[in-house]
Amino acid sequence: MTGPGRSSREPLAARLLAAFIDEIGEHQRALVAEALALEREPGNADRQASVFRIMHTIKGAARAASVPSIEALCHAVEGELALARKAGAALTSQQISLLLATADAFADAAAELRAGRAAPEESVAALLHRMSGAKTAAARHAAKPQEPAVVAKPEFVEKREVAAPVVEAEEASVAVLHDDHVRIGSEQLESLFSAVGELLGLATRMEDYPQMLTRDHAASADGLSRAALGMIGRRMGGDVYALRTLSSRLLESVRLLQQSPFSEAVEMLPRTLRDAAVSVGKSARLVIDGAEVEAERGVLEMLRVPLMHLVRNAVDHGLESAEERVAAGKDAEGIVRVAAAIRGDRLRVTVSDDGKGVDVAAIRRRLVEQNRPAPESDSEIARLMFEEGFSSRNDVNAISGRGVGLAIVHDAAEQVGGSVDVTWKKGKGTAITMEVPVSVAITRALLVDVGGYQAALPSAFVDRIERIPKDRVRTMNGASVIDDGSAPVPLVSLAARLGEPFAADIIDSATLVVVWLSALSRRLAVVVRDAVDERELVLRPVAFGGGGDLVAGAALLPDGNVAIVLDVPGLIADKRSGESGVSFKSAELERPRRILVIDDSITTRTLEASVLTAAGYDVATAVDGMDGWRLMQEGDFDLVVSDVQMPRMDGLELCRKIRSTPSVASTPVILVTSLDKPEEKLEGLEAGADAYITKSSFDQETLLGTIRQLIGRAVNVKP
Amino acid sequence: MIRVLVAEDSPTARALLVAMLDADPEIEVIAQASTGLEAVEMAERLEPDLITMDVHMPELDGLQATERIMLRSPRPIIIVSSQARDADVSLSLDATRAGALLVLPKPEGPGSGHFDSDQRQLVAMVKALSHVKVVRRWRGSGAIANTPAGKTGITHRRQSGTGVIRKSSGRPLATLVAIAASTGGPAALKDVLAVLPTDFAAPILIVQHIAKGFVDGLAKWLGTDSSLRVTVATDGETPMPGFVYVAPDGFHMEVRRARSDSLRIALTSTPPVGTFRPSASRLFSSAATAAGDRTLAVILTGMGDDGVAGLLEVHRNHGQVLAQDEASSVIYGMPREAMRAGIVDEVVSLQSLPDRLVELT
Repeated sequence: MTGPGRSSREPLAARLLAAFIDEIGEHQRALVAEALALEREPGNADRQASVFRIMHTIKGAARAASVPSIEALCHAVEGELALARKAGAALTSQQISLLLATADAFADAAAELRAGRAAPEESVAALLHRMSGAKTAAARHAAKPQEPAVVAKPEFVEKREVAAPVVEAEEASVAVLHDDHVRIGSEQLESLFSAVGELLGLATRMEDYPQMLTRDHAASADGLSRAALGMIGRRMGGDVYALRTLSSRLLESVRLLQQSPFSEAVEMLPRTLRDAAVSVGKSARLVIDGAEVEAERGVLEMLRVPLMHLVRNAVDHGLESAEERVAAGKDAEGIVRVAAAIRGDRLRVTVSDDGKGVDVAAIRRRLVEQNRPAPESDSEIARLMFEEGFSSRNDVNAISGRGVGLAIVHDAAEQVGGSVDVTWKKGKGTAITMEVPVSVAITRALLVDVGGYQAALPSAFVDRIERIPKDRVRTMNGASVIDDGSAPVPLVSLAARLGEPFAADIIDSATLVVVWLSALSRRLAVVVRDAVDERELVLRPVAFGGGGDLVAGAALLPDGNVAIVLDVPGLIADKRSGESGVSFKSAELERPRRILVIDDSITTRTLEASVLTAAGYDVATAVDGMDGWRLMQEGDFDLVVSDVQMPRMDGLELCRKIRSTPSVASTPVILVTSLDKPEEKLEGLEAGADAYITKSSFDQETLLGTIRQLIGRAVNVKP
Repeated sequence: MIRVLVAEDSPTARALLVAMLDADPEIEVIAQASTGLEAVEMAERLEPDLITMDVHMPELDGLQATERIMLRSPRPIIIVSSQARDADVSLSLDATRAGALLVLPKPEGPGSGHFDSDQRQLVAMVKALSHVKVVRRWRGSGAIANTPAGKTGITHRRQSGTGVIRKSSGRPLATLVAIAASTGGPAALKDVLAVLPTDFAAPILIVQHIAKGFVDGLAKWLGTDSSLRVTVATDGETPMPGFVYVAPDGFHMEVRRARSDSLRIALTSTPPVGTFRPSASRLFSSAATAAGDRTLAVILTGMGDDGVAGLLEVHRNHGQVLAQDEASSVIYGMPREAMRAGIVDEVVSLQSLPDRLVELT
């Protein structure tokens, strides 16, 4: 009897694993919903049955996909709950917590499996223990600190390693389900969206052709050709118009596909509220208004974490304890309301509670403790809540008090050119409102000429454009500023900030074209050569670029050119904005950084060299260690990227040689190799390498990112 | 080409079953159902040769779907179930009462060591059972209600072909009942045990061929609705009247005469007989030795011929042999082989078996 032979077993195993990851994700969400519903009605037999079915199904699926740890976990949880089921009894609070912990375990397992690792072993006892420590997945996510920028020599450059064969769905990423719906991967949707954007651009460009044809060329042609051209021109005119209209409609349809109801952004919130309430021993209920309001998926995605923080904050700081509430004549159970509404092209989301309002006094006290001047108005005081690191509480419980939560909310709003506002009524409640654009993929932006090319500044950040006489510019602390009503605002040349070497010839006239930018509370004025137009642009991400931090993406312009879309908050925040004021000398160029690439494989060598050249570095190549060493002695390199396994002199030996030769000893060395065992990495680092990148995890970003950390960008402009 | 419908709500588990079945050139998976309702609808519309059925599915579970299919469009059904919980086993076995032929455990994926053997077993069972003629069930019926014979009374059937019928004559009452069953056994046994009285005079020992892991659930399931106590046999215990002992996974169950002259159950790990361990033949021949002419051996529905060799011994030692009739057997394999060997004293319909057992003990 033949069966799937050994050769076809791996694809089958991979396919089953991929199906399992999908399945466990779906059921995990269902499990959370049922568990939370059971918390309200612990005796609901239908829901209990539903939970059992979920456990049973996942157990079977885990068995089929060969994930024994999940199979065992489901079995154990089924056992724990079986008694309740039999007696028809209500589930206890601990059992419900167990269900939620199991859902977390499912989510963790899915993440591990997706990354090519094994699902972790979990025992019921461990899960119960975890639950009681109130360290839920949600809390863990929130408490994750920002990753520090790596400056010093790293121990191991642990880039994402995919050890197991990559689990990729073999079938197309479009799956037809049993009802009328089709499931489509979000990447596919993105690329569809991009393509349609390009199509529209093309159609727009073509609008001129009919005219060009009939008018410009007809004049020079003879009678017969003129008639023919005229006819073609007319036909084309009709078709191009139709093309333009259809593309527009198509874009609109695809844009709608990018939209989702607000309910998607609040999926996790009932759980968040529950965990927060349990953690601080308060009683609370969540109400969602406007779940059906539609906004772009990217925006909703961006709102998830801030909303979680706001809900947590409402429970922790806003609501009083049950006793306090009853004493104040309120219901013991507090209400946290999340409401969404569309206002023009903005999505306004408000998280409010019926608690005690903002404790302004506590904030003032904190300021006194920190020896900081306290602003006069209460609303200024309240804004301090959003500052990173600021917390009016001394005790750091798992929920808040770290001063990170609201800062995240603030940053998220700023990032998209939105706003955050807080209002409260003492003893009655607090409301925090975030306002963000409805769409970030299609943005209205101001196109400006920076001399040589066009840059786009999203309109959300643009206050106004002005022509200003040069003499209004003054210096303060060595930097250029312009007074605008109340306060001086820093002024920089946008071209200079972008590293454009020809900044000098922009400013010659007596007036400057200035664009006033603001992101939340910070402001910046930038000088440009000219303001070109304001239009809606389809934003596309860029893989890497010379502009680096300041580039938010690129957009295709109707005339076929590409405009870089700038990251305005980044621009404003950049410290150098203060320094590189408007200078009227030509910018002094540093020479680009030189990198030596060594690999005995011509393919690898060529690939690495082209990546680095495209990023602006000056690149030389060598075929092995000895060749590389020779080049190093002749030339002057800022960094070496080398393979390990090479003839004549391998990478390790070369490294040692470099480190022991004073003239080049401080040259940073990156080893790029297919040897990925930990002891091999250690060997590399002991030989003196600054970083070790394994070829299996090689991608442009990794290499460029590491190089940037070691020697910075290709070209830096000195003011 | 055997056309199979796979009913399973988990996409992952379903994908595994489909892959296992499609790999065989004689089997084709013609459709997949993810709910019980879909399974019923597809069974009626597409008329597959066989259906593999999950037990827990939304809309209708495996039991309800089996009932409906056996009512409207009867065809061979194999239940594919997790054996880990008694409740699951119970539901699976209830499905066999509703007409499903067999219960198989959920297979393991290619990452596990059991993949090959699980696949072989699944394919073999599908091939074997796809030809079984199944009987349309009427509403509210169990296996016994289906047979044409009356509810009470002894029916001696004259059987055609080879073999001899022995009339029971002046024989001493049996003190030990040994029963062998395979495909279709659980449902048959349940019906019989449900009717036997509490004061049934002899201990009953049963070898039921069933997939590994299902025995505990089987014993519990048989025990509900029965006035007798049903347990999985343990080594060394003395079989008592009023009790039913089911052979456990992976052991032969034999009965021995101890020095004190009482009977003892012995569980042994000697090699399987054919592919069976527990083997019915081992039970029967040990019973023949231990209880001689006081042995009452019953061979019920099932594939193959396990038990026949042991029945020879029973017959030789003057014990009595009953075989289930063709009409009430899900698969008339073992009883037929026993008939062919000429060692059957009486052919009994499932309907009449309980009364007959009472009379003979």
